[in-house]
Amino acid sequence: MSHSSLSTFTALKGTYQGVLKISLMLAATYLVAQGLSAYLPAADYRLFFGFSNRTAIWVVAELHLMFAAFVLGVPIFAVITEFVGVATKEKRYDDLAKEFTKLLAMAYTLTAVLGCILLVLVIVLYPKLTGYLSKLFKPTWLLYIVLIFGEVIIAYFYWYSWDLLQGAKKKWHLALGVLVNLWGTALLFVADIWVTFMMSPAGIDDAGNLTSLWAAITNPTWMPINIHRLLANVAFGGAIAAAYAAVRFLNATTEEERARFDWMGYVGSFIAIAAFIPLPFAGYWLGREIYQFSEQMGVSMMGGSFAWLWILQAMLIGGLFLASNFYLWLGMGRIPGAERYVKFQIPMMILLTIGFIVWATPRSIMASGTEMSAMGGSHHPFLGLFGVMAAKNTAVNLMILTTFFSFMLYRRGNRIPMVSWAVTGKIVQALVIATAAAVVLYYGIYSYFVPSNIRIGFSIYQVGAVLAAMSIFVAIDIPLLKGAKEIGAIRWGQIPARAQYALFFMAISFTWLMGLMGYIRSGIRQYWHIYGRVMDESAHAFTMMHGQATIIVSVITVIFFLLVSVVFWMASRGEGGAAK
Amino acid sequence: MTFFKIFAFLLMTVSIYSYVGQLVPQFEEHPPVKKVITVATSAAELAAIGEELVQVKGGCLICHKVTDVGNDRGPDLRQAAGKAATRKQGMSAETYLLESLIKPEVFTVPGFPQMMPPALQPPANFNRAEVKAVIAYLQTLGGAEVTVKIETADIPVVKEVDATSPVIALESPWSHEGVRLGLVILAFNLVMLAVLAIAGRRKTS
Repeated sequence: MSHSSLSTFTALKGTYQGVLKISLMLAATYLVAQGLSAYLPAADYRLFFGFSNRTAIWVVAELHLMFAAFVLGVPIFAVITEFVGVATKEKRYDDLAKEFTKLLAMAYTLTAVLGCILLVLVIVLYPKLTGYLSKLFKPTWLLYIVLIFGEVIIAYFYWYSWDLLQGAKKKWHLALGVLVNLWGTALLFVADIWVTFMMSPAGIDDAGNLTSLWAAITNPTWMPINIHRLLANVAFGGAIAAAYAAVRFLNATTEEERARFDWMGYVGSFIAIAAFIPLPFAGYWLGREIYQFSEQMGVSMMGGSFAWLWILQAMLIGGLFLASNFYLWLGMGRIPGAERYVKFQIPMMILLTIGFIVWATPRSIMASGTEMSAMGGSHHPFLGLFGVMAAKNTAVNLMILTTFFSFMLYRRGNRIPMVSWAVTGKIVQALVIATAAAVVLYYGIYSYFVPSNIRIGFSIYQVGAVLAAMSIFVAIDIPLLKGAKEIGAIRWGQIPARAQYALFFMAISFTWLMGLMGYIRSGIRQYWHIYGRVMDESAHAFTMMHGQATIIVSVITVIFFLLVSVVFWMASRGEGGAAK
Repeated sequence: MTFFKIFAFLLMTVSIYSYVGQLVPQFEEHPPVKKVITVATSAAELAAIGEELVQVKGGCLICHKVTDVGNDRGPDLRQAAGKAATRKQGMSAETYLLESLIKPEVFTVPGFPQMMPPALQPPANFNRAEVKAVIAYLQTLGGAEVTVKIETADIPVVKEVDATSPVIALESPWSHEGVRLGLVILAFNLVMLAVLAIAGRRKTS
């Protein structure tokens, strides 16, 4: 019996187990949904054991979405890490990619279980709407099932064939990794069809009959949400993988383990922040499409009943920026030579804090008549100036620039450039950062003196300046640090435990932020199943108070982390078993 | 112990976020209650229905205001009926109001951007009777007499696709085709099992 045939059999067996699981789950879902539909009295809507059907769907759909984001996000950076390992011939990258992928197997099962529960719930609680959507999008449902099986087969085979496809066969494993991502992206794009159609319906006539399936698929918000979710999945996956590394770091018993998971946590957090930085731009695009589809929906989102939730979003994103910088600064403690840059930390923290405060300042505040007359209106005469987009765009761009600068300092912590043009290079880099900051500030201030239609265009210059500065800085940094003198090796593992709590904070905040933004995106349909076309006439079709909504987001976050801890435990247990 | 520490940290973080959620203004938004408008609906009733349409179904207050406190993206609705007769030469107040609701792109009040969606289309999705109810409300809001009249042609046949519409009431196609799909999945499983058996045989040989 050859080792190769044994490994092939193991890989195929593991893959089939995944297929069997999905097959059994789908069969159970079908039987339960059909059984309940036949058993329960006919109705347009049904309650969830006496509770709100809307909230039940919300909680399960959000949990399913979070796991789906994780299993679609992780393979993207797992395969990139694997590529880096092949390119640099450093085994530690291949080990890291495998560590990331290890988290997937159990997470796939939970994603599928939650998806099945969601399917049963939409069929049983909203039978007529589900019937209508099923009929409209029947070909996409069939495609979705094919894609699910394809994803399971490729992803499981990717995992189980890791050791089999090494050496000369590595290229096949990399190809499998690319295929997992292509398949996963297709899966995401198909699922987004139904969600975005409900937000911005197209391709149906006044009576609701389908006139063009393609128009219904490529509805106005479909592609912006595809891109937004793709980026968010990577950021989310990175944050959760970093949290896993943090747990393993805190439970580590050896120096080797601590070093390994310290490095994994750093890579995970770096991926999360790198994918997080372009997210606001994808968000702008989505927002613009929403406004173009329905001005009223756009205004409801940004200036109407949901406007206050953006203050919460600002607080979360501000917290994420502070936590990621805090983590980097603590990480500098394990880099010999990085003490040269400690002097920058306090000014950067002040800048981030000011940016945070400006971003979280509301434009108008709820006030009594007396308070309003004392203020001279619903806006505070001075603080109100910081509540507008001009100030907020300026604040967030400076925060992005600061975080980028922090990371660049971290990167060169233990290195001294030795190229002949090192001083000139550093001066140019400093000038590039200063120029970008000046452009951002100039347009931020100028925004106050021009009409809103011109002001909107200024955000492009601000974003452009920041992106250009980051690109130029990196383009100089790579040759600058080539052949640099190393002061000492990074002491992986020698980082305080509180840095791991910064990683947890980032994972929790990303999850909460995802829950909140999901609520806003779905909530702006208000009492419509399909916006402007099909009304929700159930008893719970109302927009709840923000306070209640945030409690539900918190409950979802806690449930998610309890389930994720099972994934973490399974991943650690598997390793223990293998070691034995 | 580490698990409990992390769990406590999780609870603390989400509690802070939820607490901030309690600090912002709290209100519930309910869907509009369907009101039946007929040719016999009195002027006062019509205006009352119009008021609810403005506040809820139409979402008009997202941009307009009807009291001192409100939004200024669109004109103040308290002045709409009063100024209607002066907006376009030769056009009566009622006709102007009707046009500004149904075809808002035709004339925009100076100083405001054209962002008003036509009232007969989604998201407001009014029918003509509802548009007239809104005009009745705008007339009472400006202190004028309600002149608008509902005619039989204004009363709609059901336009909205609601839960009782024949299109949406169709049964899910999956109730019949699920079994067929199940058989395909079963066949696929059998093929995979056969592949596995062949691999198993190669392994033992």
